[in-house]
Amino acid sequence: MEINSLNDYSLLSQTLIKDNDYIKITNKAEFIIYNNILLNNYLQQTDFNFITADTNLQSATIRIDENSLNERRLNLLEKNFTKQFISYIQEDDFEYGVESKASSLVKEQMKINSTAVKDWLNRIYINNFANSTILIGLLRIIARFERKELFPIGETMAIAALSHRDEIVQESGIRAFEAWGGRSSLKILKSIDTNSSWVGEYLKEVISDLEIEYADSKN
Amino acid sequence: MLIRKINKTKWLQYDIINGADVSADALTNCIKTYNNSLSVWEIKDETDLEEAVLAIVAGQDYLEAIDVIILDERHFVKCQINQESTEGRTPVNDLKNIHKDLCNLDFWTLGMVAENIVESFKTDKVKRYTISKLKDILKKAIEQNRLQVGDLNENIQRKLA
Repeated sequence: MEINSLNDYSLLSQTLIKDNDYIKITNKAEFIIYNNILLNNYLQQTDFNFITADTNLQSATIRIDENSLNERRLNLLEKNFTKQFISYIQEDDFEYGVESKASSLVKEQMKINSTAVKDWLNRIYINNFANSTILIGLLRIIARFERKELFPIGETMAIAALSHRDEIVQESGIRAFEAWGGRSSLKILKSIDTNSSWVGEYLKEVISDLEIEYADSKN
Repeated sequence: MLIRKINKTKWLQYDIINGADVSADALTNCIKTYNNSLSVWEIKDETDLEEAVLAIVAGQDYLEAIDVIILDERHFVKCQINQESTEGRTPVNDLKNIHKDLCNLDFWTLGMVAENIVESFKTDKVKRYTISKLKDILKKAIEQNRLQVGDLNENIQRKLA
């Protein structure tokens, strides 16, 4: 089918696009290019029921349901990647400073749909809050992203970690804020406490580092 | 003195400072051998510690706080643990030759390495370098032309920018 024009999300009629349908988009608008990329990504899959199109060749529109798209991506992540991801965290010989399979996996998925990935990671975090190994693994990964990439989920996870009873989870939360830096990290770290002496020393040092760095900054 | 990067949290799973045994995680993760060898960096004394840290951090993928342990080389000589100079994997050329491998390790000698590490914990020879300190070390090396920014992993370059 050939699409010759596009109206934002207006739908003239609905037709399910089936597997192996070829869709050619001829309009050069940026919106179409965006949708073209989306369509190209999904042309290989077998179930297209979140994309509908009017097959009227004279004036056709495409409506892409973004909620369905994100939900679909989240379901895919949960079904196809959660087990593998958790096994990477549990079996990987994690080393600070060195790339890990778990963080590589998340990086790849973030390129495809960061909204779904944030939701996915958050669910794993909540479902495994009693499992320190998985929490620590997650926190190490989120610390490797820029704050804004995983905001606000990353921040929320790190804040929750700071009050976990496991001192290593606490430390992982501090590491995330250390990695992100900024005045907001400093504010948060200055408002927490820990019963662990070595974690407390680390916390003091990070606070001191951030105070020096942002002493004269307006950030 | 020999310097090695460790994961402090693996060693502190049990109270090794007060005599508890070393955790299996510490043995199997933190002093994991390759070809029965463990990588270490040799320095003359603690005033050169940042040289070893520079060698380590410059070759990493991410800038994250690390812990390094200072090991007494005499302990390894006494235990007859072989040491071999091998070229270090670091972009700092003048530090490639301070790298060594503790080699031909086995069940017993690896245990002796673990004992040496525990001793270092007891004598406060474990140092943590925060991201800020690591940045300072890297920037100083770049200013001294010992290291080019382009030699560092992209993730680290972004943090230094």
